[in-house]
Amino acid sequence: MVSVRRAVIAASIAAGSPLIAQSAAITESASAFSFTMNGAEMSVTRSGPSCPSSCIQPMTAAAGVETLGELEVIGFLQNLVSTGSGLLIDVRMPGTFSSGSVPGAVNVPVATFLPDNPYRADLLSALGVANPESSPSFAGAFSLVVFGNGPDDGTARDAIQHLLGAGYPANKVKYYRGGASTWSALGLNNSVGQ
Amino acid sequence: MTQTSKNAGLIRMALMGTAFIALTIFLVVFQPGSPRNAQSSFTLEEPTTVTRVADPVTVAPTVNEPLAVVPMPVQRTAPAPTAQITSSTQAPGQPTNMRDMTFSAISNLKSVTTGEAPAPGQPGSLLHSVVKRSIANGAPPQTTSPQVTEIKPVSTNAPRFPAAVSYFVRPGDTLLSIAIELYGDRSAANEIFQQNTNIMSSPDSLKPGMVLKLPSS
Repeated sequence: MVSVRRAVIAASIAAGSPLIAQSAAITESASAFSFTMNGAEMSVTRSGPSCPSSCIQPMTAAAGVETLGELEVIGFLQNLVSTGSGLLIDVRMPGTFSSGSVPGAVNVPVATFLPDNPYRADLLSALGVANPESSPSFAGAFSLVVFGNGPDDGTARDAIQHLLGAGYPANKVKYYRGGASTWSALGLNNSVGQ
Repeated sequence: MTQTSKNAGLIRMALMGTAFIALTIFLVVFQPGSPRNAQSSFTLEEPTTVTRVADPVTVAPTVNEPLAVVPMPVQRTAPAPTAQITSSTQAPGQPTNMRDMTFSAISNLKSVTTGEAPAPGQPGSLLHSVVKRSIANGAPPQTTSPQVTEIKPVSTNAPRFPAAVSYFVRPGDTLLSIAIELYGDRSAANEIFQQNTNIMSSPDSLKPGMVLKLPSS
């Protein structure tokens, strides 16, 4: 009986170990990268989360859109959000957002930025865009810092690209690539149910 | 006898108290049904239990390497549906309740930027948007208010008045408010009164429910 139990435990460990070593896709197009160093072949693989759902995102969301780190985000909160000219946008779903997000973040789910959202003009007008339907003027529009779940979440980039597609000037949009997961991983505080 | 029955009662009470405290602690610690339990961290743990159930299959052969791969499809496919569910709820083009989502986002933005959510009917509210939309879709272009206000100062042969020829008086309306609403011009109040002297004895006798004829040329 004891030996059977031991065998089960051993087998479960043996079954679990290749799972951890399992390589997962890194980006939409590549699951592993290889290179040579001093003639020796080396490779970069990924284990754990897998792409399509969590693809690692490039540093730049779109041309002209600045990418921020945590200290820059805090600076943005202190300067632009405090003075009422900037907004920190969390593009995750409302349920995820309400379980905790960066202090000062406002929840605008990525789906609402889609061009086929019939109410997008109302959203843009709430972002300070004048005449969003006829002749949009972005002079009074808020500066935005957009973030999603993390560096492996493409939704923030999608949202930024939809904003730029709507005519939002690139110098008023910034990308916090680290996102909510990096914010928490660094031990920075979350504010729950804003 | 009374002593033992008294003791039995005390023991029963103590047992009931213990059970109550144990149940309370269980509920406080585990909180069954709380939204926390529905989070993805819990769904991620389930696949590991799946493999343990499947493990006895791999017990018989001593070689771990090739057979260790066998449970992996179970492992790899198990997280995939949960990931797809989360991505499909976030997927663009899900029409679930785009309107509610957009307007809750707008209300979030408004509450941050102006300090309060837009009241019903104000710009930025759902009502305002719906009204604007229905005006844009339903009414012919010459009846939209911007054109009326543009035409008003001309006051020559141009069609000065909206296409509607009658007006249903609502509670709170005055001739002045109707004139401003329809023509953007206070002086139109007198013209409206002149058209309706048959039903109105004086400009003050306006009552809700009246149907006013409007000056049409």
